[in-house]
Amino acid sequence: MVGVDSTRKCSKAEMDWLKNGGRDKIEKAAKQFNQKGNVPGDFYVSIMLPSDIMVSIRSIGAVAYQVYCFGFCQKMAARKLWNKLRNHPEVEEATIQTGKQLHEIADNEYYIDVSWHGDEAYWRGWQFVETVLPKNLFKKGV
Amino acid sequence: MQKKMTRKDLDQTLEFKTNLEMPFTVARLETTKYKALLKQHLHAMYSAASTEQLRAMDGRIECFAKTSFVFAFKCADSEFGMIYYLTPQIGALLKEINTIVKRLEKCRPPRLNLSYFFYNDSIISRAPEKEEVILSSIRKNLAPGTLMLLEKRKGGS
Repeated sequence: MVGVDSTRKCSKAEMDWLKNGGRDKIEKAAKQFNQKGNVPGDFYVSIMLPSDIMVSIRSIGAVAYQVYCFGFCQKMAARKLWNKLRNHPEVEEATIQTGKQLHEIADNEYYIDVSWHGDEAYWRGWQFVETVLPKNLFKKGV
Repeated sequence: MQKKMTRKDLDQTLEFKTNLEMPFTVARLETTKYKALLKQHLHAMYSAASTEQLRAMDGRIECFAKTSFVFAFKCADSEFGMIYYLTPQIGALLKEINTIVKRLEKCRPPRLNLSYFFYNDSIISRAPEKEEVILSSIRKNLAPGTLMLLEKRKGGS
């Protein structure tokens, strides 16, 4: 697997755009990019905003760790999942927190994770992805 | 069509007769033998865990058992079915159980996700390939053992 994950600064207008469907558009574009076979293997893009609600769980003996991401308007759904998970026998710890707390980012920053899974990823490296990425997928580059 | 489950019904074992050939019962996990079996299964699965972790897990099994329900089918001598882990909120809980019952009547059980399923010989599991056997057993009105035998014969011939 190869990939980049970092925090990026943005203006208030850009953040509002990301919150109100912009993030979904980018993730959808990445999904379509993957489905068209531009990159062999699986190509993922996930964006986490400071206003997101994150439910993270750790299994007994730290065998597995999972994070579920909910948008700022899905507070009830996040709470419901957290309530359910914290009493699950195989879960040692379940926490609910904002994206800001989890990724330690400011209100004008977002966390972006772009990754590519597959054998080709290992042999060709990240530079290959950069050469095939459409320009409109990341206007400001990765 | 079955009568809707009510709050009073939650503490009883309810029998449902549907268009499936096999009748099924709904009962709280707390009141069935499966609670002890689940405990045994999880202890075996997490044998490397510390005593403290296992003790904490036992506490969580108690909470889990309060809001989990056993949907058990009987086919000849076999008993099999699913343990669904549902919401602790009473209103939503009734809604969830009624939805599962409705879907079972249509032979379309919801996927298990965080829950477990079991065979008559007390095997509790959550492995996806075994889940498929249980789900198709319900759809085909057959016990999992019989279904696997038939599949084997089909594959062999």
